[in-house]
Amino acid sequence: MSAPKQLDPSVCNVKVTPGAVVCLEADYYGEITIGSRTVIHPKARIIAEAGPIIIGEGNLIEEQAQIINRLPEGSEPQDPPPVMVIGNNNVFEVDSYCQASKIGDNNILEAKSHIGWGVELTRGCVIGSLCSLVCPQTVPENTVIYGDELHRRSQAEKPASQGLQLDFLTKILPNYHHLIKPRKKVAA
Amino acid sequence: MAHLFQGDRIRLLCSCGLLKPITAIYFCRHCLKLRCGNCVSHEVDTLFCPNCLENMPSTEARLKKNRCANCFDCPSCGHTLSTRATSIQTPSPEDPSKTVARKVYYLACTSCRWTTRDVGLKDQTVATGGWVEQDNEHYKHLQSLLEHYRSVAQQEKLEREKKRFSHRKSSYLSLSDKYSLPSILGRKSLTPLSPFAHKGDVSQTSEMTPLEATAEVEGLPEDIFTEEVVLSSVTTMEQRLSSPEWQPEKTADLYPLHKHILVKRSLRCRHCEHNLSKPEYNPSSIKFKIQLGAFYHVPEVRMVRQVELKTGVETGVQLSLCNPTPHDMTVALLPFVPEASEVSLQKAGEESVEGSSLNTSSLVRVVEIPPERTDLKLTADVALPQGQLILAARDDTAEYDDQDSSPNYKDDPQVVAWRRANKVGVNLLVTPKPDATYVRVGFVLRYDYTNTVATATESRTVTLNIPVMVDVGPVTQS
Repeated sequence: MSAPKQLDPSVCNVKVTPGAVVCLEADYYGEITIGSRTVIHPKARIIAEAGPIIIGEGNLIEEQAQIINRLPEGSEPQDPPPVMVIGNNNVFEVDSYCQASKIGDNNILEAKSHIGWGVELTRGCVIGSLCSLVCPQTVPENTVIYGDELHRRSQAEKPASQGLQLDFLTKILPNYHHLIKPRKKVAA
Repeated sequence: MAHLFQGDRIRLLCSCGLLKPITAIYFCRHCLKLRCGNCVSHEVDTLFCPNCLENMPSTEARLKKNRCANCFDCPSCGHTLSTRATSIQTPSPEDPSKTVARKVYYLACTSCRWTTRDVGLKDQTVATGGWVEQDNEHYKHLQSLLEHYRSVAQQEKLEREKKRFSHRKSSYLSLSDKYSLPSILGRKSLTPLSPFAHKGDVSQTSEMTPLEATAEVEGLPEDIFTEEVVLSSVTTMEQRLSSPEWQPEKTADLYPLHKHILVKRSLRCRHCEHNLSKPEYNPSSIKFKIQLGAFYHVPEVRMVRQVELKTGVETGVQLSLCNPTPHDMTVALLPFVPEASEVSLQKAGEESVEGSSLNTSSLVRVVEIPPERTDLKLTADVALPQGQLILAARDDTAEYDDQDSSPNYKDDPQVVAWRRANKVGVNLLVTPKPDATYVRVGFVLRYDYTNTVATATESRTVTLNIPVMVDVGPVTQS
């Protein structure tokens, strides 16, 4: 069985900005907008169930990372639907889970971290491996959360950007994976 | 491995009276007894840094306060710091209008992302070392204390030398190392020409002025009740205590900590002075020259599966016995009586005391281990299989054989539930006692051990009894 060459438009509507590398083998659902220079690996999951997801520029979304816009169980659908906005230069490492309401810039979700509903990441935050935030809260700028006891400390500067890694992946991933191409503007 | 051996369930009663899992027990081939960490002497073989694996002699380690000079721990979370390299633009030394890229290094923690830049430490131009040591405000006081105690030790040593002819030579060899007195000082003092010999009078040792205790302490700062506490800028208790000299209160005052060095230990039986465990000298090697772990010599007992237990109901519990030695073994399970084992332990202790008094070699310090009191209460009655069974020798090639070439043992089906290579399954019948919530049964494992010591003159097989305690599981109330 050959892999489908394009996404099913009845399931999802993925808008890709030129310059982004968005692998087809990831799971997409709903209204998703992806900014330029963002890299999405195969087998990531981006599920815009409750409302659209808007991903900014220069984000790195690794394998098995999950970004889900979904309301907590038992709550009524909201009007207008909640929009999950993800800023620029964030890193979603392998098997991280993100249901945050809003994510700013330069945040890192380390491997197997978990962010529940109603959490807001501001700028430069690092959620350490296997750290889980489930209570609705706003994480202040440059906070590092680490360890099994969820220690917090605030960092002097924001974490280093993944520019080189993004450049590398932009070059390598198209050689081995099908990409979602940016849709050509229909001439008016 | 501890999980594989069911260390939390199956425990052996060591000769000192402690219950330990088989992975924590040694078997002395010369005394033919079980020994554990509690009843062996621990000796330091090598001191080494766990990060760079560099080993150092004990004198050097003492000078460096048992810390590695090059490796650092994160003061924030305790993880090892790693060196990061970045390049910065600096004005060129020849032409200030141009800039050149220079490589600089700083330390960063991969766990909590603490860096030396967080606390304002300057980046280094070399990859290792170069970090400025923090100055301790009590350094002079500590040094004078050290000096003082050195002279105290000196004087004690002189006094001992005087008594030397009237008294029997003390066997406490370690005393010369008291207060970290370098051994060279000690040797000098033996010669009458030594300058220390003259100074060793009372006046020199009493020059320290003791600190006065005072009831007045500094008041709290003015803003302690008005300023809001920012928890992220205050250090935690662990962070403060990990650098005892400074005990920083603010996270901005944290400083990289030199990594503690570790030791490789060799263990020695206190009764026969034979090594039970001796690691290879090289810090990067994880092998042992001598390793007399019990799991190489004692039949290994495991529970085959978890069973449901009900108060007063007889339940079959299957155990597997495994022979780790290359000799056939005759095994029998005998009832275990806790009181009797205590008596026998005490007897064993008395016997060894007599034995040590006969020991004329004064170099060897035989320390008696008082028998430990362990709770050996059994919470179930157990019906053990009667009769003996033979455990086949371990044969590493057996699993590669196509056909079953194992010799046919005339097994009593009442005793042996199944047999596979060097393993045998036996059934116990366990009846939990009333008002027991957790079932623990005990039995004595009697087996014929084939002595492998070359010099053994007596018969090569010895019958040994090892008390085994099995935590079978919780009792479900019916």
